[in-house]
Amino acid sequence: MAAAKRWYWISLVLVVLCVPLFVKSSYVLSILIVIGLYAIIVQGLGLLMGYAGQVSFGQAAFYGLGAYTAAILATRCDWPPLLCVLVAPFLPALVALIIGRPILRLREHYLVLATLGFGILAFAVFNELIGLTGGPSGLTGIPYLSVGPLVLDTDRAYYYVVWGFLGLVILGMANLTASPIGRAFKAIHASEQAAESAGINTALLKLQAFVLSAFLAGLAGSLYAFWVTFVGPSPFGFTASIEFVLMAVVGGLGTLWGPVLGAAIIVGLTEFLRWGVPVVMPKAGGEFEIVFFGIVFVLIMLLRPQGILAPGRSRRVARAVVREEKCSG
Amino acid sequence: MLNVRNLSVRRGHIQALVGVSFDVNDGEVVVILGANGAGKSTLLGCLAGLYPPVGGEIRFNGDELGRLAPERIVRKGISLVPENRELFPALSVRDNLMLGAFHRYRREKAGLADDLSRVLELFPALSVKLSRPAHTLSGGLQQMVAIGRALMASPRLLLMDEPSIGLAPLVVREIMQTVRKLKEQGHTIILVEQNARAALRVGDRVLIMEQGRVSFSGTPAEVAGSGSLQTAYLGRQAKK
Repeated sequence: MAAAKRWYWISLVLVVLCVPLFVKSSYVLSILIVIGLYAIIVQGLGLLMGYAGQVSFGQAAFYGLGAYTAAILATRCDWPPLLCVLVAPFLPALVALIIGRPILRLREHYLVLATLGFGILAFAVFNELIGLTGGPSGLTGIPYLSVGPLVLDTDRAYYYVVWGFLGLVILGMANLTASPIGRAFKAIHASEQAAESAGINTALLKLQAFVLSAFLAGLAGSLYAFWVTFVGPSPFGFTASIEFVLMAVVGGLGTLWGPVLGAAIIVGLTEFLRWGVPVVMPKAGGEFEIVFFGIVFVLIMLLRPQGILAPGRSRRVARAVVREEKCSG
Repeated sequence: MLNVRNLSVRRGHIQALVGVSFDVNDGEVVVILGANGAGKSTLLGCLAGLYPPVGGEIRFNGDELGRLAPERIVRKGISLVPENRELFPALSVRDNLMLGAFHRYRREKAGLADDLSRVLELFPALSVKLSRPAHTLSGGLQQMVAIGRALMASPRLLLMDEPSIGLAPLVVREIMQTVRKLKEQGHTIILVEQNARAALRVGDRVLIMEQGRVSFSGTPAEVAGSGSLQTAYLGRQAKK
């Protein structure tokens, strides 16, 4: 079993390593980089939603906070890019720690509204704090990511960086979810009161999940900053937060690969519709893309409401339940 | 061991407990009887930290529990077997049991395997179903998992909220035998039960609750000797 698992991971690594050898198009590579960045964010959101049972519509704000922190450290403080990538995620994590305590006391739609409010507030700060963030014009002059003399200024090189980080995040998540803390997260998701009565500090664990999700969004943001070498407020708005939630839900909550698949589907579908709709309807505007996107999303939710990779109740399990009920009379 | 004085609890707009006072001694099984809505489950929930009191005091081995969070109460040695089991359905039986010991998995890692063996000795039927998701078990087995999960916390006081609810008579007998075994092992238990006859057989003392108050405190023999209590809680068959 352990050997099979090892081969499974080795084959996945090989597939990821080989992709750029076959993909020559810079456009496709850039889509793969975006998928990788979003998958890192959605891994954190998946932990928060799928395991800790909390919904956040503020992940784009943490993504932006990571990007701006890395950009400011690199351009104003002249920190080495790699150090910026590693340090920048701590600011969103700290902000999540500060706002998490009051926010996570709220439940269901109040929690959604609070995180939404935080996202809108952060977006306003990105736009209005012109002296620090450059306002709507953004921050320019961000260097490419470099490790010593090696400058990672091609999409191919950056693909390896982003997917390397994603690999580490997935490995970390696999270990976390299989640990007692991971089980405790699942318990909170199943029933918060039952988890409390079993001696689990639910408030602390939910806060930890929130902080970790903000850290991962910040990490993706800092990687993004050194890829595009420009940071403006537009990618960090409310729409991005909704898309991250969609990716988490479509891929399947509480799964390791759901975030990657969800990010791939949403990014892939957006790009496909951007290309496909003008071919089918030459005079159609951008709003038709949203209509088609909506139709596809509704279809996915109708056919797989639990998300594509989340396990449903299999027939074998259903039969076992019936058998147990018969035995107990 | 447990001293409760003038305990009052509100749940929303309802005064669920009014000036409840009682003591529980080491090694005792105290049975709490009462009609639906009498405040029995609220009392256990309050002792477990799920419902904060608005008045009175709860002392456990001399320590004031007051408004401590549930996980800190578990650390103090009080564990709840909730009404309707409240298992984590998608998790395996083993995971459900181990989660009962979550607060000590770092400090007492070595002792957890021994505790799990003790729980499986008490409920041998669970040992062949450890990897099964909890929701695939029958009601009786689920109740065993719920009791086992509470025992994994190594409690000094076990709170059991209607463990026989919804179970077949044969399974109820098995659960009550488990309570008896736990009593023999020296556990202190507060048992809330609708099945008064079964509960009185294992109890040392009885509290009867009505409208959020303790209306009677005595022994099972005193309940059996009182015509009105027999009629109210044991039904006609007990008069035979």
